[in-house]
Amino acid sequence: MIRHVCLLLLLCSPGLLLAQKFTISGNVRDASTGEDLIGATILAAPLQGVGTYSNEYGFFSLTLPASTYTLQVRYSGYRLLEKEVSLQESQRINIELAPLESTLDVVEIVAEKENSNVSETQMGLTKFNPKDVETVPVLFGEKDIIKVIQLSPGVKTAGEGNTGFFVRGGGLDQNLILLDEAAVYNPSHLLGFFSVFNSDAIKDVSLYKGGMPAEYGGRASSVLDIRMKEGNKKEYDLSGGIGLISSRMTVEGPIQKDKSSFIVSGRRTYLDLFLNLSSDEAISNSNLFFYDLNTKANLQLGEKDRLFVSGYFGQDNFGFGDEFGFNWGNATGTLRWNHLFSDRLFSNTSLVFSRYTYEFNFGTGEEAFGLESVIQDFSIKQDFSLFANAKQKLKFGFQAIRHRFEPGNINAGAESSFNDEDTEPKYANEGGVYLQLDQTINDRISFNAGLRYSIFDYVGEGTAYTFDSRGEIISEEFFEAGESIQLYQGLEPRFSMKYQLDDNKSVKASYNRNYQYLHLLTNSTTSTPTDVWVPSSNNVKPQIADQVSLGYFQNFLDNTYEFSAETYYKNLQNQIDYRTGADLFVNNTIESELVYGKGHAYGLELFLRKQKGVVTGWVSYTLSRTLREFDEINNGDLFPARQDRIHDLSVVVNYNMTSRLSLSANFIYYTGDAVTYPAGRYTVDDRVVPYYTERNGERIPDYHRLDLGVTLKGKPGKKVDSSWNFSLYNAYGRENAFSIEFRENENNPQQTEAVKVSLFRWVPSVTYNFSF
Amino acid sequence: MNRIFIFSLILLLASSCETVIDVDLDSTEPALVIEALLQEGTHEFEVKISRTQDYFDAEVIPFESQTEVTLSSNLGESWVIPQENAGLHKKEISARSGILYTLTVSVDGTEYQAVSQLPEKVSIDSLTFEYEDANPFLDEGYEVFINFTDPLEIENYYRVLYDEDGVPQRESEDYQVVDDQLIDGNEVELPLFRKTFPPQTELFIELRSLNEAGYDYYFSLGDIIGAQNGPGGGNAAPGNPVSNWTGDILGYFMAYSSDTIRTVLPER
Repeated sequence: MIRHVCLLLLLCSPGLLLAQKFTISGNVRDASTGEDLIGATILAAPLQGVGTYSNEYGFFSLTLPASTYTLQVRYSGYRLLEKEVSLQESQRINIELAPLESTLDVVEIVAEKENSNVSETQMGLTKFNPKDVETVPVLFGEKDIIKVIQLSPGVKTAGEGNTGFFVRGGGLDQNLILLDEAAVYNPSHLLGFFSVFNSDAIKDVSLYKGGMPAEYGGRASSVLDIRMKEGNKKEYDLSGGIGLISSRMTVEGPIQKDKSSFIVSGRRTYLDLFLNLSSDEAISNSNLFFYDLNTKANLQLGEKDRLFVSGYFGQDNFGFGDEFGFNWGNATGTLRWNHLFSDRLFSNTSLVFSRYTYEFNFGTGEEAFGLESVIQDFSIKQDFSLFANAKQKLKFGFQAIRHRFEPGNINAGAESSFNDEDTEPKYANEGGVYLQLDQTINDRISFNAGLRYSIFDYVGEGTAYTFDSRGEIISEEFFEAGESIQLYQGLEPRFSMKYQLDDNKSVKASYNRNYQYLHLLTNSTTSTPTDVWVPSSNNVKPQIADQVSLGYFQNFLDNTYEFSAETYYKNLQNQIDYRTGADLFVNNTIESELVYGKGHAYGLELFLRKQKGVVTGWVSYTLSRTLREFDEINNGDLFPARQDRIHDLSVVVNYNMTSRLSLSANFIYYTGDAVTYPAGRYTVDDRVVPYYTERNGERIPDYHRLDLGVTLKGKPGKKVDSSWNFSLYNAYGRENAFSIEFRENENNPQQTEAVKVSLFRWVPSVTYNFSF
Repeated sequence: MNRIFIFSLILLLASSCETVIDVDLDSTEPALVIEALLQEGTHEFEVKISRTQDYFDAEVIPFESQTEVTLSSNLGESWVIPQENAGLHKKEISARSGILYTLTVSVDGTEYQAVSQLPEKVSIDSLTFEYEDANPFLDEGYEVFINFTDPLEIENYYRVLYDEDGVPQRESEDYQVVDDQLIDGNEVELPLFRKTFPPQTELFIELRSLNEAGYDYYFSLGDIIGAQNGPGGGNAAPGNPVSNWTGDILGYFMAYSSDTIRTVLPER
């Protein structure tokens, strides 16, 4: 043990024993827009394997012995930049990378693909740049980064056309979805068919499926870190698109050239505008739309400080005149301050706000009845990055969140049948402290060791209930504001390491433990706007996930092909399920409806991706099992979770025929969901009722479909860059089962039948995109 | 109904399609089902005993076990309910509210028991009607409201049943159970489903007062037959309704009270 501590101390005291060192630091940016680039690799030739990555603000810092180096800066989709640096003193340089202009460029520049997937320590990471995947055909032609992520290994969709997703056997609520560091509680629009993330406003998307860095906490299975664009620092730009469902518009430009910029990006559906034209009043008085608005501004305050303000606001609106209304939406806001304490110590402070609400309204005036539900967070997050030397990076910081839950605020008119009485709000304080070391031992071995300590305090003012095994209240106790009702805490170790076999091959291993203190309750098959988030409490324990994974990474033919094989085993504790007939809607004692159990998930993920050349795309295959274990269900035996799809295959191909015309196709196949079918029938209440014995004992038919797309770009050199995108979803019209219903035959109630419900077949769409 | 369809059509921009398919379901050991409803006042008390059968089996399989049925109350009264025919026992009983009844059923020597307290009756004060134009959720016609006063600070549970022109309405969309969590102590104007009726429709409406176990049973049954297709949608994990029988059997014994009202909707 002591030997290890000494070794660690030695590693952590840079420059003590070695020659004089200096630091090169700065930002990596896009040469045409000035947008900071996240995760660009910076290598210091001629040193072998010595280098770093730009962080989430585009900043990098590299401390090296005095000498002359050639910095090689690479970023996918950009030209390689080589810059000679004579390092005799510490210096700041900003690096601007030129984007690859056309598809011809992609063909010509053969040797410039990075191999970061092999060389970096992190595993279980899927990264997409919205620009890379814009030709992937999607439902209704509505570009959606979440639907592309669902085509990657280890990620499963919540259902046909749905934006909910399961990662490595986790639940829908086990994904930490961050938009500029703000948690987004309901990432979907319009019954889940569209995500709230407008691709035009997004710069970078990273999905951590395992071995997540210690700076992230709060969800058991994954982190989806979405960063918004900062806006063009060089010139004003207006771009947009008109599609079948929505139209989009983005304005961006410099506030002060090369220093500060802004972006405003909006999207709105316009189906309701057609509804208004209808001569049928019933239809013309209807509301049905959603919109998203993303805004961001950043300011450079001198050499060492940068300020970012970003906000998201989106809402779904559904209703009819003043008789009925149903709205839901998220709002987030983030204020960030980057500060350089030195050229090696980078700091970011974030103040974050997030709010999700849904609301119903019936009638007007005295007879009105309205119901509103709110979840709201205020948080502060402080991160420090210490770029100790070329082989070491230390990251540490803390986070504190104040949660407020209002499950049901009722607003009833005087003549209404309902009581004007709210369900009790709930409060909780959540905190985390972390430390993480990124260490390169030699050009073969590197590791990343982190530890997170998290704490969660469920506090008053509120009433805490205890329940017996049948869910009946035994006792209740009132707590004053701020008084602790239940405190949870835990240590979350995170570790990953890499052993490089040669330039193109590596093996990696990782372990992570994650605590999750907030839980989403939903008793339907997909996420709906009225799903309820509840805090851990005296009844609900935090969910805990432990995951180990092992992977092999190899690139072929000058990094033209990248391949990875990852296996994982995940153990989940304190998983939540429901009593039969649980009533989750506006229920003060909702916790009495819950039962608790365990989860096990394991699998193999294969991924082969080609990013260069005329034909690009990937093949992703996952072989996995997802099992659950509850005392109250199936006599305590293991049973498959709904998303236990054993085989899951996605093939995504894009063929650039000419510099203007590209063809694309997706093929998706997966094992049908595990479902519960009736084992028999009987008659009560004068109706035929199905009799159930085994949870999820059966399978719906396997799912498969093919999507096709064509993208035609306008002639180059014109004033307006434009493109047309045509797509066909489910091209061979497979009737995939969305659900199987068992019911009485309409003509003969004694005759029962199984009915397959399928949704989208042959859905064509067209989108026009432009940019000035 | 038609309009909801059009609306959903626009919503999805593509119609969903339904196909009857063949599904291979395994046979399982039949399970016992006992259903008994005890109504306040003097009524014929029926106990139905049956077994589950294969799901696609339309023929009713005759019940052949030996059964004995006894009803007793917490006042020490006891009645043997004689067998009418196989699986059906019947007797006229005068039941009163506030009394705790116990039903004991023996099937081939194995005893099952359930208890149920008969709740106080809540009376229907009146019916009101309102003529509505068509909207995306409702056809043109009368909306009907049941007016009653919910007793204050007592947990009340209700079920509404109705006949339209003499025909009992048994569709899952006509299935309605409510608790008084949001309406405690109020003068309640409960809509007769989200539905409208043409002028001159004859309506016979029953408001049943249930106890908590009865509500739990009907609420979970509603979930299984797809009655709560509100914003929450269907249930992800179907199970069997929450029964008050001892032993692992299906069905319920439920004591309830009931009030009814009959009306003919006016001309427009």
